[in-house]
Amino acid sequence: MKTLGLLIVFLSIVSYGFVISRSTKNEAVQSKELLRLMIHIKDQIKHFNKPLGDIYTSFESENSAINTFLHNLCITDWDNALENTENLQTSSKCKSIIREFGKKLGKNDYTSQIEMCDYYINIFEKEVELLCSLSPQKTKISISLAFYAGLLLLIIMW
Amino acid sequence: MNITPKLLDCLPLEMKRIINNYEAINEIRISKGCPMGLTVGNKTLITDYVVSGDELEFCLQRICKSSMHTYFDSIKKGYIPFDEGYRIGVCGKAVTDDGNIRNISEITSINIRIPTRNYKVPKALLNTVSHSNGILVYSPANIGKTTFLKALINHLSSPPHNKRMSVIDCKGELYTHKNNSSIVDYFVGYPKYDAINMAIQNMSPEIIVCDEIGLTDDVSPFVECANCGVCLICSAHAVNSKQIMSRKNIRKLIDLGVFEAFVGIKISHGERIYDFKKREDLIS
Repeated sequence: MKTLGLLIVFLSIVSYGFVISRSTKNEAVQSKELLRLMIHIKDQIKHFNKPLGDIYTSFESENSAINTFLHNLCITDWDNALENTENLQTSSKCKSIIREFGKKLGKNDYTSQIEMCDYYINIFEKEVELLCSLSPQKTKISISLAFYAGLLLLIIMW
Repeated sequence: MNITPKLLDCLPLEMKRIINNYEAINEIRISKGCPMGLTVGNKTLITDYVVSGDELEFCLQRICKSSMHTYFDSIKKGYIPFDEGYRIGVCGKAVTDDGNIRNISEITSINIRIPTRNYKVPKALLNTVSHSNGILVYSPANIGKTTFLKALINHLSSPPHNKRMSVIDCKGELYTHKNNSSIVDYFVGYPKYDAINMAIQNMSPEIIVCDEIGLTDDVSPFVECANCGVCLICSAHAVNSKQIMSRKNIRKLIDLGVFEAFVGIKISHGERIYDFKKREDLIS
């Protein structure tokens, strides 16, 4: 009975490690999608000068969180859309960049909008690069940590 | 009420409440820090409701669909195109460069003109006019020139006329009730003269329709159009035929024989009156 209990505890800790690693991977994937969205917005303004509503609906993503975010964008502003998209996973730094970007979107003339987009895309791109480069390490660490923590607990409680 | 939900959505709650008290509004005037003005029938009313800067910004953002970049060129020209035939004029503080408007630093006033929806142009008049080669429709602002043009487009593109038409619609006002016909082509938002040349070269129209002419000196595209055998149907601002003749650029076109028929529109005792004239009558 004791062995079974310990095995369950061990497996729970290890699976928690996997959950964290998956969320780290999602963070990178979704941040990349958000970057793609920002570039899409800039391109659509630059080449077609389209209104934002049309730009949001013309963006295609296979990520469900990004689709929910886009849906929210069509009915509310960026701040609320970020708040209301529960499964959107990105770093807090990325979120604050996105928030600022959204606040300044649609408030100025064509040239200023393109310049503004370029500025935020550059910052965001660096942040996404950092996130992506750290993602494999973070994934590995979280799984290893969970495994060793589970093992340690197993030894202590044996 | 004659205002559609789409426009009402662009207004703050308190404004909607006031507007709801009136049946037929022609204009809504919104100025930062000033009481809201309404034109109802022929009367201009000043309400007690003072519009704040935030409320004006709210209206502006809603009208522009939160996309100022899309409408900035037209804002520099003093208007924002809006669906359903509304004409929205804007003005404020301009930043100029060599006499050209480079930017608008602040928008302080919005004037929303509500189109006249429920009047029909008499069919007999449309029949008479449609046999003329070159038609100029004139009236003061907000009397019904655009509505008349729309009716004429529908009439001429339907059997038995079936005329191929190109509609040069700089402000997107004629396109709002787009005719469902493959023989009517709309050039929306194109510069007027470029669009005329493009239409002649590529769309082989029998008729070119153009709203609000005579504001610039260059009349050559219109003359070119007439010389190519394309009939022109245009509109211009003027109270009467005397005024139309005194407008230098339009006079040039009349003298060159671009227009054969003239339709003046005015309102008397709440009724629209059409004054149809042939070129000879107008000149004499």
